[in-house]
Amino acid sequence: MKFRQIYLAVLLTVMSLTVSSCLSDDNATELTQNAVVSMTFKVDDVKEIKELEVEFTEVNTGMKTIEKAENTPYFSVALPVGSYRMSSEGIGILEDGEEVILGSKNEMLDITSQVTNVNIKLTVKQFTDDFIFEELFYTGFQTNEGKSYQTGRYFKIVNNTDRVLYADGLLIAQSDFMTTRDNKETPFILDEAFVCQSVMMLPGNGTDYPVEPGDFIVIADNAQNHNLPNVAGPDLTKADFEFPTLDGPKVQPDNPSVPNVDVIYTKMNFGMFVMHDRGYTGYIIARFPDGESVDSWLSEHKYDYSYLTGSGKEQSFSRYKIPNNWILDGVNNSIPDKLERLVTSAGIDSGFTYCATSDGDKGRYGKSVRRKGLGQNEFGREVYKDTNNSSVDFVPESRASLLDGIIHN
Amino acid sequence: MKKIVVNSISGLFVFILSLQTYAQHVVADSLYINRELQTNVYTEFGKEFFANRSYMYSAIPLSYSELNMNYQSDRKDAYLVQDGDGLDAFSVNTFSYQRLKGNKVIWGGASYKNQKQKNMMWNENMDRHILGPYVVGDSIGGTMKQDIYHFSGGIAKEWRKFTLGAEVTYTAKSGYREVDPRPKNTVSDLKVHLGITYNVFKDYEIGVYTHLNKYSQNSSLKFVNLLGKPIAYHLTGLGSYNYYFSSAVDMTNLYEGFGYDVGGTIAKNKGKDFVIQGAFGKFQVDKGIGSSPAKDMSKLETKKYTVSAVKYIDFEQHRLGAKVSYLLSESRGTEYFYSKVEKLETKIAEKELYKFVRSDIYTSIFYQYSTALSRFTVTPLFGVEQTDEKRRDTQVKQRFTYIHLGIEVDYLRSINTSSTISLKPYFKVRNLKETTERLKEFHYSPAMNQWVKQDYMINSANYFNCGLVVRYDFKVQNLPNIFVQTQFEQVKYNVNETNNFVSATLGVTF
Repeated sequence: MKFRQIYLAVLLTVMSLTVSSCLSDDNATELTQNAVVSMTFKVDDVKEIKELEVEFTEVNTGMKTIEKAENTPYFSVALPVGSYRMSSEGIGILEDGEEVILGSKNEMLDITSQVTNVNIKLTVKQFTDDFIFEELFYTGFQTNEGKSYQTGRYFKIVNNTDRVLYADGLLIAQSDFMTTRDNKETPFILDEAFVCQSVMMLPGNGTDYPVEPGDFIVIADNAQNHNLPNVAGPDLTKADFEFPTLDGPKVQPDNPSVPNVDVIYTKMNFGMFVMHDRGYTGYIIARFPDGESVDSWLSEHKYDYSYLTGSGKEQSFSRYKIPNNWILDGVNNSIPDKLERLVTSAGIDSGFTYCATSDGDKGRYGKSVRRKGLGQNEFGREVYKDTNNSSVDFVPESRASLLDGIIHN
Repeated sequence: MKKIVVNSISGLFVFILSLQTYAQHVVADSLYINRELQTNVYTEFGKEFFANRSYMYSAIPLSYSELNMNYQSDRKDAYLVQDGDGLDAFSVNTFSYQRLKGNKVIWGGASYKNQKQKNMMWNENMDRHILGPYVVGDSIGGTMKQDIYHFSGGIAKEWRKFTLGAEVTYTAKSGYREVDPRPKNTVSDLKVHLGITYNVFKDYEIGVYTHLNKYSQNSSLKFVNLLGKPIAYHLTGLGSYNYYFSSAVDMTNLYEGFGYDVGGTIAKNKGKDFVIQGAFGKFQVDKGIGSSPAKDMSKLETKKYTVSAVKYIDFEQHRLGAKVSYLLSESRGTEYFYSKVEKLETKIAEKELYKFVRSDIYTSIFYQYSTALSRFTVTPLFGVEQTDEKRRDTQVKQRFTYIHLGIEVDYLRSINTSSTISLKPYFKVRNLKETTERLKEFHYSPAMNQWVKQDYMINSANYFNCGLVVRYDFKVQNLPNIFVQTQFEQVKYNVNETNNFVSATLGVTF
C-alpha cells in the first residue's frame, strides 16, 4: 500500500512537471470600439479645398490621430469613443487660382455614438508683410534661494521682410481669455476680433524707430540688468522699449535711456501690463489703420461679454477688442494637457506653444518660446517660419535667447 | 559564484555532521520537541491549505506564544523602479496559539512595523500589488516612511462531525514623505475568514470556506514649494497615463476595494494524509479623484482561480510529501472618460484598456527524516510562471515566461537539554524561458520611457538566489525560552547586479 502511495505521489509530480504554460501568446490586434466621424469642411470665398490635414487629440489618453485628405471637403475617419480636441490645416484655391492657407479653431468634440457628423468652418489665414513675434519670454526666473523673480521678461519682435519697417505705434496686446479655460463667453467674437486685458503702444511719430530687414526690437518689462549675484537673468539695459510699473505698491525702476511704452488700456490696477507667468494667454501685434487713434479705438471698440459659471450664476465683464484685420501676428500659449481653446481666430494662429508642461511646472523658469528659423536668404538675412500655426512655427521650452545679452547681427 | 555555493554547502554538511556526532548521547528535551511541533510539516510545507480556517484546529498539537523584535535591511542593485532600491524595517511581533478545553483553539497576533521604502520613483502610493498600474507617480519620488499595524484573532472548534474556523485580521498602514513631492497614504485592510469541514465517511472530510476583504487607501500628494512642482501623473500602465487628470491641482485619491474568495476542500485525516483544494476569488478596487464629490477614474477587477493538492506519506522515521498548485489570475482595468464640451464636466465613456494575466504552476516534493534529536527536511521545487501585460489603446504589451528551480533544506537539531538550533539554507534559480514585448517610446516624458525600459530589463533577467536562516533557541532558568534568528539572502542577476538582504530577530517563546 505504501509503495502504491509513493508511486501515486511521484506520478502526480511528474505529470505536473510536464504541464507547460497555459497562456496563449495573443498577438492579435485588439482595437477598441470605433465610431465613424464624418466631417464637412466649409470656408467662405474659396473655390475648392486642395488638401486638408486634421489632427484629433483624445483628451483622456492624449493619443493623437492625424488624417489627411485631398480635393474634397468631405471625409470620414474611424476613431475610438472619447472626447477629442480637433484642429485642421489645409490649402484652398481661390476663384483666381491663388492658393491660400486654411485653418480652423480648436473644436472640442465628443464621439460617443456609432456615427458623428461634424461641420467645421475653415478660415483663410491672414499674413501681413510686417513685424512678427520672434520670441516671448514670460516665465521669469528663480533666485538661487529658490524664490520667485518675476521680472526680466520681454517680447522680441522681428522684421521678417526685405524692407525697413517702423516700430512706431505698434500695438502689443495680451488676451483677456485664457487658453486653459473655455467659459463659452457670449457673444462669441474671436472670428472677428481679439479680446484684450492689456494693450501697449510703442511711441514714435511714424519714422522714429526704423528696424532693418532681419533685425529685431526688444520690449522689456523692466530695462535693467537682471544678471545678478543670485539671479541668472538677462541684461536688458539695451532694450528698445520698456513697460515698467511706475505706480502702486510694486514700483519698478525706470531706465531713463530706454523709451517707455504707453499702456493705452489695461484691466489691472496702476496701469500694469503683466505677462502671465505660466503662459495661459495669447498675444498679438497690431497697428491702428489710417484714421484710427487711441481715443477712437477706446470709444468704438468696447466689448461686453458674459458667461455662466458652473453653478449657473452669470458673470459679466467689460473689455476692449482689436479687430482681426488690424492684427499683424498672434501667438497662443497654453499647457499641452490643459488646452481648452485658442484665444485668437484660427486665421491668425491655429495652434499653440508652451513653456510649462504642467500647472506649476518648475522647469518653466528661464524658458521662452522661440520662432523657428528656416535659414538665411540670398541677402544673408535669417528667415523665420510663419504659417500662422504656433504649434509648428515655434520651438517650445526654449532657452531664453537674451540670457547671452542683446546682440544685433 | 558556483565555487562559493559549493563551499558553503560542503561547510554546512560538515557542521551538521559534527552536531550529529556531538549530540549522540543527549536526550530529547521539551524545548526541541516544542520547536519540532511548532514547525511541523503541515504548517510549513502545507501552509496554503489553511485557507480553510477550520484546519487551524489541528495545526499545532500544543499551545505556545511568541514575542519578538525584528530588524531587516534590503539593498538592491536590481529592482523595479516603483518598488525602490531598498527597505529598512524594524518590527515588534507577537503571536499566540492556545488549545483550550472543549475541543477549541484560539489564536491571535499583533505587530507593529516601522519601515523606510527607499528611493521609490513613479509610485507615490502603498500596496502597488493591490492597486495595479493605477498609482500616482512622478520622476522625482524618494524614500517613503511607513507605519504598519496588524491585528488578527481566530477561533476553531470541533464537534463530532463538524469543525468550524473563523478569523478576522485588520491591517492599518500609513505612508508619507516630508520633502516634495509629499505623499500621504492611509490604508485600512479588513479580512474575514470562515471555514467549515464535515466528516463524511471514516476520516474523509469535505470542506468549504470563504474570505471577505474590504480595503481602502486614502492618498494625497502635496507640494509645499510655492514656485512650482514636478508633474505628477495618474499612471495607467506600460508608459501611459491619464492625460485628463494629470497635473491636476487636487491630487487627492480614494481607492476602495472589495473582494471575496470561495473554496472547497477534500481531505483525509484532517489534512494530514492528503488535501485537494480549489478556490475562486474576485477583487475589485475603484480609484476616485478629488472630493465633494469624488470622480471615478478607474477600476481594476481581478479574478483568481487556484487548484492545489498535497499528499503525505509516512513510514518509520521517513516522511515523503508531494504538492502541486496552479494559479490563474486575470486583472482587467477599466478607465473612465470625461468631457468638457458641455458647460459641466460629464463622464462619457468607460473602456476596458488594461489587462494583466498571471499563470503559475508549482510542484514540490519533500523528504523528511526524523530522529529523537533531529529532523532533516529537503524540499526541491519546480515552477513555471507566466505573466502577460497589455494595453489596448497603445497596443503596448510585454510577456514573460520563467522557469523556477529551487531546493530548500531545513535542519532542526537539539544541541542539549536547553538549546536547539535550526539551519535553513535555500537556493533558487529563475530562468527566463521566453519573452515578447512591444514597447513604445512616448514623446511626452523621456523619464517615463526610461523607467519602462529599466523594468523590462530587470523582468527579463535571470537570477540566482541563495540564502540561509539560522535560529538558536535556548532556555534560561525561570525565564521564557529565548531565541535569536538571523537571515542572509543574496540575489544575483545576470545583468551584473546583486541584491542583499539581512535580518535579525530576537524573541521569546512561552
